[in-house]
Amino acid sequence: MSLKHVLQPFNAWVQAFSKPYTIPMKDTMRPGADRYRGWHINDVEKCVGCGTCADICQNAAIDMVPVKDPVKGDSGLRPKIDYGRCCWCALCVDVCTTGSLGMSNEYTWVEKDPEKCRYTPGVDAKPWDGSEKGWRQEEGFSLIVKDRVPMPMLDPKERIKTWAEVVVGYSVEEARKEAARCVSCGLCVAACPAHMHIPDYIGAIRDGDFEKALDFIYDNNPMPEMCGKVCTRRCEGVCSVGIQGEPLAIRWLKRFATEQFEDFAKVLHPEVKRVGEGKKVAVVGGGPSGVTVAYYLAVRGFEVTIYEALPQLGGATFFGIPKYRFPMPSLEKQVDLLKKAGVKIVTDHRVEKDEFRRLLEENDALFFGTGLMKPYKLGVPGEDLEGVIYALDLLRDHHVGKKVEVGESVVVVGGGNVAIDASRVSRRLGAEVTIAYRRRREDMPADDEEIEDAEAEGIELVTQSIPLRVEKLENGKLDFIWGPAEMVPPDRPGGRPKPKLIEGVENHLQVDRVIVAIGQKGEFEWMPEEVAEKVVTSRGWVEVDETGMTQWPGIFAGGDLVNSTADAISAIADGLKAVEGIQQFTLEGLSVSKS
Amino acid sequence: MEFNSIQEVLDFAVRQEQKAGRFYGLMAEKSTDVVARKFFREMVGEERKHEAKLKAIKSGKLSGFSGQGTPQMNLTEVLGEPVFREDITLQEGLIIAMRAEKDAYEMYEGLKAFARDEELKKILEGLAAEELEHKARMESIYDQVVQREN
Ligand SMILES: Cc1cc2nc3c(=O)[nH]c(=O)nc-3n(C[C@H](O)[C@H](O)[C@H](O)COP(=O)(O)OP(=O)(O)OC[C@H]3O[C@@H](n4cnc5c(N)ncnc54)[C@H](O)[C@@H]3O)c2cc1C
Ligand code: SF4
Ligand code: SF4
Repeated sequence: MSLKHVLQPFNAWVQAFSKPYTIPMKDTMRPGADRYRGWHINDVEKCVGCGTCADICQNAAIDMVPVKDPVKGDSGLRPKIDYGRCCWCALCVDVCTTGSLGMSNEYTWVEKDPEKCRYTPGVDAKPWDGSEKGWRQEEGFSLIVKDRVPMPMLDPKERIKTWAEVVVGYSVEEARKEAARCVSCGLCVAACPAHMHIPDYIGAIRDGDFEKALDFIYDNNPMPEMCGKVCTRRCEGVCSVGIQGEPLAIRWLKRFATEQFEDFAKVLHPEVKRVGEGKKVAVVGGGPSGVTVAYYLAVRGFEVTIYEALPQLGGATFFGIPKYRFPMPSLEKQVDLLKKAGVKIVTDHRVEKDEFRRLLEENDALFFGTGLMKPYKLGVPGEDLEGVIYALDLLRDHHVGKKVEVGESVVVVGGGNVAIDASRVSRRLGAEVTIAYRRRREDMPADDEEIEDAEAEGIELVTQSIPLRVEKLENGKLDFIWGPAEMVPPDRPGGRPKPKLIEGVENHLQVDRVIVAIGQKGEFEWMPEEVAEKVVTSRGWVEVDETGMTQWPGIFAGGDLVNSTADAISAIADGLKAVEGIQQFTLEGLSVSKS
Repeated sequence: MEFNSIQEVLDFAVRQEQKAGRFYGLMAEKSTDVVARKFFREMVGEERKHEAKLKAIKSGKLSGFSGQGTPQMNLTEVLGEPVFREDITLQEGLIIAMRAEKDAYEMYEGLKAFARDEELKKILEGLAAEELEHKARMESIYDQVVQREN
């Protein structure tokens, strides 16, 4: 060892007393490579705040922070990145469900305050915001599985010969594979009117724990097998996986979970306090809203009786929805659980004015969900001719076992689920079917898949057609006369565009039946005048407050009569609201007002 | 019919609205259907609002008619002509209301031919446009309530 080496540490100490200085360095900064993984960028308009990026980050470098109010399909949160933790692996970019997240190729950024080394890309402005270079999700590559596991269905040519269920259902493998696509973002929960625990039950299906899935499902839906088959699936419309791929088959997964069990009572373990012991509630109408109120109040210990005019509970899901979509055994399973929960069920029993008054006297609260049981009329000349019938009547007669005949050809007027169901039932009864709808195909309220299924079964769709009148022909057939429509803008932004008749043009269609399915309305003849006067509006709906209670204290309502969406899950959501409302009302010691 | 002044035309229009209000009031009284009854009552209120607007124009508090330009659907033209019965429904009530607005529009359009001067003609045109707007609004309600699935 030389003397120089021995003295070296002392030389270093000498430096300690000299003034610090910076060695000027030439600007040797090299730009990052084109695909370098530098600071994040985010197109915040495209981002939906699903949080999948935060979930995948192995360093917990991403927090989801609120930047705006949540709306359906957007949580209002955006990822905030902590560069003290980020290791620039870009997993977050590769998994991003919308493709909004990227990384610029910028990698230098000097900050004295380490707190500032966290920012929300796209919200906190940065010099690299517009950067074109850096890391992006590669075209055709994603960590998300974009394709849905296809649902096996009966062949259209075969299914019109039978009443068998069209959808076959997933096998265990198919269901678990489909469930594994879920990123658990929960955007669907906010979009579901009943706020079902969707990611939880999908997760349980993925893990093969179907009992747990059913527990999650039954927590806020007492007709899940019905919803699993026919729900309007607002959830799927916002599924973040659906933005770049196909949305999760949420409805089919729910259906799968419920189909795994013959007797729900054996597997469900509702953990609720029986707070309602000693309280009595009457439910008028056995549709989804009434069933919801009856079931959840019964498991909470209330004494509940449900009155239904038809021979079976289920409401429109029994008398309206055809069995090839929602078979009887599925409905019976759900009704069976209702009985086992202790609900007293009185079917074939229409409540009339005096009984309603008596029920008010004898119960602590009353709920009615009597639905939209009457059809609106076409309103055009010739409507009263023999052969012009109503879809609701046709479906109801068919489902209670009456003989129905539709002849060789029918035109169904309308574009909702009722119209599609009447068309497909008519097709199965052997008729050639045309649907006449006033607006465009994309405006049809019926489920897209239902429309496609109808077309696959050979049903013809004539859009922008306005009924003008119906005439009787000498050959005994009906002449359905319609005029073409042009579309004019809606009254308010986001409303339905309106069809305007182009006058002077007439088209003719010869048919055996004109089946009217333009809309339904509530019926109030059974209700005492003093109650109807107080609770019914000038449009034929019933108004309720945030607890589901009408203007009459102690009388609650829900379902199609109340909400504007008129689907089964909204009726269930109304029922859930009323359950809380009734519990609050009855347990606070208030009694039903008699005036 | 001949009008000599704008005031006269507006007085006439006010009387028409009052007549319509009485007509709806009578139907509200006689209807047995709760929904139709409530609808007719609402229409009484509507006609009162129209009347108040005309009076405001007459007294100079409002400078003129200001329709919202609701698009026409030509729905009234194809629907039948229901007549009042005690058990009339909301649907029929709406059609009656749509037809009444259409008739009022046609009446003012017809009266234009008898207008002595341009100013009178303009006010009749304004009244006709107002009625057309009411018709379009009733058609819109009909479309939303009755034709929810069509
Ligand atoms: C043909 C058709 C197809 C449909 N398809 C779908 C679909 O695919 N998906 C979807 O989500 N929704 C669908 N719907 C709508 C869905 O069925 C309804 O939104 C839902 O059933 C409404 O529930 P509710 O609780 O209002 O009662 P409803 O289902 O309307 O039932 C009301 C019940 O009350 C009973 N009732 C009435 N008055 C009395 C009285 N005085 N005493 C005793 N009982 C009385 C009736 O008999 C009836 O059973 C469809 C509806 C129809 C008609
Ligand atoms: S994964 Fe994409 S869409 Fe979802 S929050 Fe992160 S950046 Fe936004
Ligand atoms: S189903 Fe779709 S929306 Fe719902 S949690 Fe899963 S990925 Fe998110």
